[in-house]
Amino acid sequence: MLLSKLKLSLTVALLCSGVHSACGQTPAKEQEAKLIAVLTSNAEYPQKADACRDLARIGTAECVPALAALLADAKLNHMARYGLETVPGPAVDEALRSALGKLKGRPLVGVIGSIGVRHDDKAVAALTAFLGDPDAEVAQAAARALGKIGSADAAKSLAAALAGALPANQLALCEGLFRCAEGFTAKGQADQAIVIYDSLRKLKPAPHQVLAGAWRGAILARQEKGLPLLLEAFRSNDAWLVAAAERIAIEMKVAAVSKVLADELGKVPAERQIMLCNVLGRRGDVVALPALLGLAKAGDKAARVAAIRAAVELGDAAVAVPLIELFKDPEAEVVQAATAGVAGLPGAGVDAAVVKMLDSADPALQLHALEMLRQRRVGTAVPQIQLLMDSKNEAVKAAAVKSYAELGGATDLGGMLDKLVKASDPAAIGALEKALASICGAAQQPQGCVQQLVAALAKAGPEAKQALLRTLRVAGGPEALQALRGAVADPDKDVHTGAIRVLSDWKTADAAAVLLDLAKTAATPVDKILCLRGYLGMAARKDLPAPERLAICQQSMPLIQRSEEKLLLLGAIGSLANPQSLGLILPYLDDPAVKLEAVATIMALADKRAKNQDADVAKAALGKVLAVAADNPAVVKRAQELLAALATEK
Amino acid sequence: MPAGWPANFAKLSQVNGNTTTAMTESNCHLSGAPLSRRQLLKRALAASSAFAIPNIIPASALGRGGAVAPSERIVMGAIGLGGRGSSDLGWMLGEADVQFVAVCDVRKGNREAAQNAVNGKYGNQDCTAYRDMRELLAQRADIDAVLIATGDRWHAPASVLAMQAGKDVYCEKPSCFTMAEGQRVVETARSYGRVYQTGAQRLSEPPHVFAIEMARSGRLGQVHTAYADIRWRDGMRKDLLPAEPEPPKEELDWDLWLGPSPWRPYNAGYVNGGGWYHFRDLATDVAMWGAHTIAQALAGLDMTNVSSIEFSYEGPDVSMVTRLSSGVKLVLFRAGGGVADCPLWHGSCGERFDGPEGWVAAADGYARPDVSSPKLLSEYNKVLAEYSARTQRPLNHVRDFLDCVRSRQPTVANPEVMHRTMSICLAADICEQLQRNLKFDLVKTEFIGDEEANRLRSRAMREPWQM
Repeated sequence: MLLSKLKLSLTVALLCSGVHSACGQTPAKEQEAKLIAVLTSNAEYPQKADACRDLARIGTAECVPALAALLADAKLNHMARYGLETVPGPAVDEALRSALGKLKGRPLVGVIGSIGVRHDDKAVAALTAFLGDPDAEVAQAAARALGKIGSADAAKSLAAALAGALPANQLALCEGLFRCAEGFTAKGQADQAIVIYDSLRKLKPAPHQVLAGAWRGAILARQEKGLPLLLEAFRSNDAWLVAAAERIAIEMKVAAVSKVLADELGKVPAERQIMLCNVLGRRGDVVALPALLGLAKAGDKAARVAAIRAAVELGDAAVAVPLIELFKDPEAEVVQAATAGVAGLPGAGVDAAVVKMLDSADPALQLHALEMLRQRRVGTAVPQIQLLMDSKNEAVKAAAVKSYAELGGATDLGGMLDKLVKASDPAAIGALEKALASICGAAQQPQGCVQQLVAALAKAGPEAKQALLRTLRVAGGPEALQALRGAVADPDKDVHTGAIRVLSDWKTADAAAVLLDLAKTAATPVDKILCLRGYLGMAARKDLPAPERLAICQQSMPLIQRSEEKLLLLGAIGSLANPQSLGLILPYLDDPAVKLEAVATIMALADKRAKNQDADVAKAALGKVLAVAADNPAVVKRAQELLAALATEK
Repeated sequence: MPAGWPANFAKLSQVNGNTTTAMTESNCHLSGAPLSRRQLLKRALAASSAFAIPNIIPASALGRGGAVAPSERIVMGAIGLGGRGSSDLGWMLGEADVQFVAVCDVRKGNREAAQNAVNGKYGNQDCTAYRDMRELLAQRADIDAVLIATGDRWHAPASVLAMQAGKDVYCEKPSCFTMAEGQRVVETARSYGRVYQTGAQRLSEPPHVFAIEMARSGRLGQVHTAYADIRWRDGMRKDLLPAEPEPPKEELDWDLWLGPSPWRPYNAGYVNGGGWYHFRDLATDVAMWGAHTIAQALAGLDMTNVSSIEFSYEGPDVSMVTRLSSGVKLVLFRAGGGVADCPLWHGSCGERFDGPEGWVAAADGYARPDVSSPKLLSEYNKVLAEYSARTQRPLNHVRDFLDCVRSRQPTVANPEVMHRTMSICLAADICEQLQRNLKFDLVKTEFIGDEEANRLRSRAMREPWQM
C-alpha cells in the first residue's frame, strides 16, 4: 500500500516536472502531452488546476478530451473550462455542446457561459431550450450566451423569450438582445439592430437603464437619421431619458448634432439650456460657439454661466473678447465665470486681448486685466504694467505693483526702486516693499537684487529706507548684512531702530557675531535686549552645529539680566541636550524668577538621559532639584527615581 | 420587421407583471411618466452646480448654505469595505450631496463596521448591510450609484453587475483583471448609459495634473520619454496555502469572496492583511501601481494616432521599456529597494515626462512637482487654470465622479481611459509571464503574431459568474 502511494507520488511529480514553463523551453507538443498526462493521472487538485491553466495557453485539439472529461468533475469543472475556453478549433465547441445535455446546476451554467464566450452559433438551438429552464441561473446564462453569439437566430430566440419571460430573467434577456444588436451594428446590419432597440424602447415596465440603452442604440444605429429621436429624448419630461440623451449626444459622432443642439438652445427653458451647454462644451465643436456666446450675454443666470463654461471648454481663442465684455456684467457669477474662463484660455491671442484691456479708462477692467496677466504669466506685458504703477487710482496702482512683482523679475528693479525712493505715502511704500520682497525672495541670484537695494538706500528717505532694510533681509547674504550693520549708525532714530529690528530677526546664522557685538555695545538698553534676543534665537536654530549653539548660550550668559531672556536661554539649552547642558542650568536653580523653568528643564533632560549626560553632573543637578523643589511631590518623586537609577549605573 | 421575428416583439407590453427582485415596479420606469420630485430636484441641483468655478467645487456650492436636502442627494451603496473601501467611504461620506443607505461585504466585521460608520455619520439606523452584492443591486432601486472597493478579482464583474442594474459606479483600481473584462466594462457603461469612474485619483490631484498638462500642452517640447512607476513586488505566487476550516458564511462567505477566481481551499492568510495581493489568481502585477501611473503617463502623451506598443522583456521584476508606435518611449519603472531609493521621483506612484525643453515629475506627497528648471514651475497656477477651463473638471477625484453623476458627462478615469491603461498593464504582465518581447495592437486589443499571448487576454470565470 505504502509502496503504491510512493509510486503514485513519484509518477505525478515526474509528470508535473517541467510542464509549467511559460517561456516555451519545452516543445509545445511535448509539453501538451505531459499536461494531458497530469489530467488523466491521479494527481491532486493543484497539479491538475495548473495543467488546465497551461493548456489554456498552449493546448490544441489533442487536449480537448482530457479537459472535457473534467467538465462534470465537482471540483475541476471550472478549471476544465479555463483550459478549454481559449483552445482554438471546433473540437472544443463540440465538447461543450455535448456537455450541455449531461450537466445540471452550476457546472451547466459554466458551460453555457463558455459557449457564449466562444460565440458558437451551432449551439443556438440548444441554448434556446434553456431559456425557459426553471433554474433561473441556467436561463439567464443562456440568455447572455445567446447575446454573445449574436446571430439572427439567437436574437429571434431572445426576442421570443422576452415576450413571456419571468421578470427575474428579463434583465438577462435584455442584455442578450443588446449584445445581438451591437453585433448587428458592427456587421453593418443596422436595420436588424434598430428593430431590437425600437422594441426595447417600448418595453413596459422597463428598468431605466434598459430604456437608456435602447434609446442610445436606436439613435446611434440610425446615425444622422437618429437626430429627431435625439431631440425627442432631450425634449422629454422623463429624467432618465434626458440623462440618456446627454450621454448619447456626447458619444454621437455625427457632425450635425452640435448644430442641431445649438439651434435648440434658444427654444428651451433654462434647465434644458444648461444640459445642452454641458453637452456642447464636451463635444468641443466650434459650430456651437455663436449660440453659446449669445446665451452667455443674456438669459437665465445659471444658463449664462453654463454657456460661458461651455464656450471656454471649446478652447477657441476667439472666445476671449466676448468674455472680456462680460467683465462689466452686473451678475457676479457671470463675471466670475468669464474671468475664470479667460484666465484659463491658452494662446497669445488671448494674452493680447487681455493686454489691450489695460488701455481701458475703466479701473475695474484694468484691475481684471492686471490680475489675469499675473495669472497668465504674460511677461511681455511688463512695460504696460509699469505705466499703471503711476495710476491715480490707488487700487490699480497696487495691483500693477503686485503684477509687476510677479512678472518683472530681478534684473530690472530700477523702476520700482525709483518709485520707492520718491514715495511718501505709507500705503504706496508698503505695496512697493511687498512687491520688491516678492521679487527678491524668488530671485535665483539675490545678490543682484542686493546691489540695487543698497544703491537705493543712499537716495531714500527714512520711510523708504526702512522698507529697503526689510527687503535686504529677504534677499539675505553678506552684503545685505553689512548694509544693515551700517544702517545701525544711521542718524535717523527710526532707521536705526529699524536696522536693529531687522538684524535681530536675521534669517541666517552669519548675523550671530554682529548681534553679539551689538548686544554688548549698543547705546540703549532696548537695542541691547533686541540684539541679545536675536542672538539667543540663533542658539535655538537646529541648522547650526551643536557646539556653535552651545557657545552662543555660554557667551550670552554674562549679558543676560532680565527674566525674559533667562527663559529664552533655558529653552535654548533644553533644545541642545548635550553633555554640558545640565551644568549651564544649575545657576538658575537659585534664581526665584526662573527656578521653576530651570527645574522643568533639568527634569526633562535627565528623563531623556540626554546625549550622554555626565552622571556626576546629573546627580548634582537632581540633588539640587530635590532641595529647591521640595514643595512639589511629583518632581521630588521623579528626581529620586532618576537618582536611584543613576546609582545603579556603572 | 425582418422575417422570423416574433410578431409581438415590437409591442412587448405583455410581460408578466409579477413583482420580483429583477424587474419590479419599484425599479422600473414607466416611459413617459412625468419627472418625479426627486428627479427634478436632482436636475435642478446639477444646474445650480454650474455656478461653481471649475476648480474644487465645495459641497456648499451644491446646496443651500452647505446643507443638501435628502431628496437632492445622490443615494449610494458601498460594496467591499476593507481598508481601501472604508477609506473611500470616509471620503465620500464627507460630501454633503451624498447619502449612503447600504453597505455590502462578504466579511461580517467589515460590513458591520461600515454600517456603524454610516449610521454614525447620519445619526440614524437607516443603513442596511448586505453580504451578497446581488441582493443590494436587485433590491435597492433607490440607489443611484455604488462605490466598489472589493478585491481586484471582483472589480470588473461587480462593476458590470452594478451598471446592468442601472447604477453609476465608482470602482477602485485596477478596473479589470483581464483585457476581456476591461472591454466588457466599456461596453456595459456605453450600453446602459452609466457613469463610471476608476479610483485612479491621481488623475485629479494638482501636482500630477500639472505634470500631465505640461507634457500634453507641449511646454516640454515633444515628449520623447515617459516613465510610470510600477514598483510593487518581486514575483507573484502560484501556490495554494494549506486548507483551513471555512468560517460560517455569515462570518465570511468564502465562495463569494473568491467570486470568479479559480477555487482554492480557504486559508485566513488570503483574507487578512491583503494576503491575496501576492497570488496570481487573485491579483494583477504591473497594474497594482500601473493602473494609476500608466494612466497618468498616457494622459500626458498624444495618443491620437498611437496604434500599437512594443514591449521589451528585460528579465523578471525589473523595469520594462516599451515603445509606442508614435516613437515615444514609455518606461515601466521598477526600482529596486524602497520608495526612497527611486532616482526619478520621491514617493510612490510617480510619473515623469522628458522632452527637449525639460522634464517634470510628480509622485505622492508632492506639494509641487519636480522640474528640470524652476522656470517651469512659474506657470503652476496658470497650467491648472488652463486644465480647469479646458475640461471643466474639479481637482478632486470623488467630486469629479459625483458631478458627472449629475451632469452625465464622462469622468476623467472613464472606462475607455482605464481600458487602454489596463490593456498596457496586462500586456506587460503577459510579457513577463511569457518572458519574450511582444507587440500589442492597441486598437484591436490583441497581440500581433503571438497566439499564446492572445490566449492570455481572458480567463474563464468560475460559475455562476459571467461578464
